[in-house]
Amino acid sequence: MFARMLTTALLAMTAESLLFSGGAGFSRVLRAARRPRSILPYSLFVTLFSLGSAGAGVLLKPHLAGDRGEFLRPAAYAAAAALMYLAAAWLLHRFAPAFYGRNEGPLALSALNTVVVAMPWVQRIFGFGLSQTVGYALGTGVSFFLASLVLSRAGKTCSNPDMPEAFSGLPAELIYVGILSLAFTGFTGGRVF
Amino acid sequence: MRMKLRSALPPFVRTEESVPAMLGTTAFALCALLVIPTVRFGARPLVMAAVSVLTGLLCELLFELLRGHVPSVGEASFAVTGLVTAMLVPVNAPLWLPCAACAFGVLTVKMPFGGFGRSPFNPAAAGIAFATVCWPKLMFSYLDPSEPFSLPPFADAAVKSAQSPAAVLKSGLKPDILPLDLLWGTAAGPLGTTAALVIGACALLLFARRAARWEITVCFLGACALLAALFPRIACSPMTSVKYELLTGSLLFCSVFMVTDPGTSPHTFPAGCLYGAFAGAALMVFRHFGAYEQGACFAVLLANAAAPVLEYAAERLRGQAPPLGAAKQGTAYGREGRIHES
Amino acid sequence: MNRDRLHLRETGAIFRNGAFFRNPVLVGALGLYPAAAGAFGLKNAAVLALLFALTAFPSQILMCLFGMFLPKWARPAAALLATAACFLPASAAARALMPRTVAGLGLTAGLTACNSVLYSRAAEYAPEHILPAVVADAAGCSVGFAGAVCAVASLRELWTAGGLFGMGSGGAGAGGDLPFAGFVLMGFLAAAVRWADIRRSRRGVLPPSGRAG
Repeated sequence: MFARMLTTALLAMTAESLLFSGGAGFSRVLRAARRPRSILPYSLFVTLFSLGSAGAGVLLKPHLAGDRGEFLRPAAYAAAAALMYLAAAWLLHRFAPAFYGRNEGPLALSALNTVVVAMPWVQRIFGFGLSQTVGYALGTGVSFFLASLVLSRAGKTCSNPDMPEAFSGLPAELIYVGILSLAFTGFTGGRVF
Repeated sequence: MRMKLRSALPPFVRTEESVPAMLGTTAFALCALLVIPTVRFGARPLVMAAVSVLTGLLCELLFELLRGHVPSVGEASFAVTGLVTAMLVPVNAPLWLPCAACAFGVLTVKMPFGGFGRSPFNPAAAGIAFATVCWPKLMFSYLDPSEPFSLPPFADAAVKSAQSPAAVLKSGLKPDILPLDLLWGTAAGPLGTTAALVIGACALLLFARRAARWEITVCFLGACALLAALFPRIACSPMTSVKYELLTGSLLFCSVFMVTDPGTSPHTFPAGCLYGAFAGAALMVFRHFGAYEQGACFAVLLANAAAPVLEYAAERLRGQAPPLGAAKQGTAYGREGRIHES
Repeated sequence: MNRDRLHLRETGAIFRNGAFFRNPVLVGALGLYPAAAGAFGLKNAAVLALLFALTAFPSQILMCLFGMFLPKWARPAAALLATAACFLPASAAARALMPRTVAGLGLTAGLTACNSVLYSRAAEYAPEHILPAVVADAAGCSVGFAGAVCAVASLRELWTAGGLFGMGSGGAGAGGDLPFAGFVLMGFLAAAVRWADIRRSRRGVLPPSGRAG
């Protein structure tokens, strides 16, 4: 079970990475990279909410069968993520206001994003069991952390005085992410999601 | 009196070697790799290298024109990019293939970031990765050197193709060529990556002239050898696995000409060692689990992305860098060199 | 309600900013996922743009009217719930118009429910601005998003298939449908938008004062 979890975690960081092979979550990665101190809490929140979202997917599965279920699925998964965030925000706001005050921004953005809401879909696509789901969520969190760390260190490269002004900042960051995604294509050879 | 240091662009040289001299040495070494293929295949390798270099030059000039600058080329990095790109494609590939790869590398990875010394990724690695993803059949269709062939210098020709030893290893089988026979460049493979002995001689030249850093190559090869011995892809002894892994594909070429790129590798010794080991491990992971028979270019791109992080990690370990996100006011850390407060 | 009340004549500026100069994808770095993962054909881009537009208007109007009554810590969740609820009729409309394309998009279409552009406009912009500004912003962002994904999709489809709307007879090479192609193209398009903005400011045309977030 542990081996399966570890294997899935490694796959989540490489060939089946939602971020690099699927292109999801980079809006949040770029924002986390611009505030290096927030990278760790951001990644932890992404991991926890991904786990929660995957669990919600399992609970909702019997109620989302058939064509009607397929139609309702996106809204149901998004609503589950919203409710998870509400619960987490209320609890932290109530019992740990100082912690909540410091991490209010990352908490919301990490709970309510494409990566987290996509977890139940990924679970369905790959037919993950419990240990694999946990492994995938952990691997996705590590992926998010590494991507944010790499992009935070690449910030100066993407904004230097020798580059054309039009490319400085976001355009260069997007090209950077593209080349990083190209590197991960070496694992997959094609589309995964 | 406080010391004021100027920031500098990579590569950071400490000797009388200048950047043009380093690039010139590298280009000379790459040209030396063309000798054996030219003797074997005729003029086509030279034409391939020439069109690739020319494409790199034209792309740089075009970009400068679009920027509104007077087109000029300050250093010959386009020549190195063009030559490296040409070395990594099959000799029987259409001439537009290395041109497309070189154009992608220069226009997407090099010039938008400010040119040589500013690019976060090796342009040749990016170009070859792009060509591999877009035209995998053309990139891995190698001429069978044991069959009679006729390779016109400019036109495309239909030739009998053969699996490279790297492809045979990828499929879990033992290549039907002895490891030591791989030294002479007689096996099927990319244009400039099969002659292991010549690559070794080029490496010695580059290290002696300080155009490449030996610690990166040594750590790269060490990591590859260790993983090859511990996790062989075929049923054989560890030493045989090491020989096959090191001598097949573009691993050796990559260890000398790509991971040592002074513009994209870390500039301190410990970070360079970490970087080389990381790149070697990444390459072996791509060999085991990647989708293509050649994973060197993808591994180089990953290592390039990791380089600033590895450099930061090395500095943190030595106590020379602040915690993440807590840079002191007025100081800057990064691959652009250190700026101290005056 | 924002103390700096916006004048109606500034709604044109808000629309222009959302559509181009403050394009949510190419300037705001939001909504990158559908452009990278789904916009590899013009039909896909059309569906994504339609889903976006049909979700943006009702969700932002809802948050404009009711968002200010919610505590700030609950607004993000309310915004996502509003977007998810408004996604359902949008999805029904898209399925009625282009059922095969919607099915082919898979989770990319479904994840429009949590699109970061829609979420950020609903959570951060709509509760703080008056209704005409919110409508203009929704329209501008819809046009801007549609423009970005369609531009990216056209180039990728031309590369892969040699034609648009599935009418190509063979492209230059493979790989156009992979996320890396989307990100690289978005980078160049973002540079083009930045260049236009720089030229505009150098000609002495100041950026408008209308709020676009």
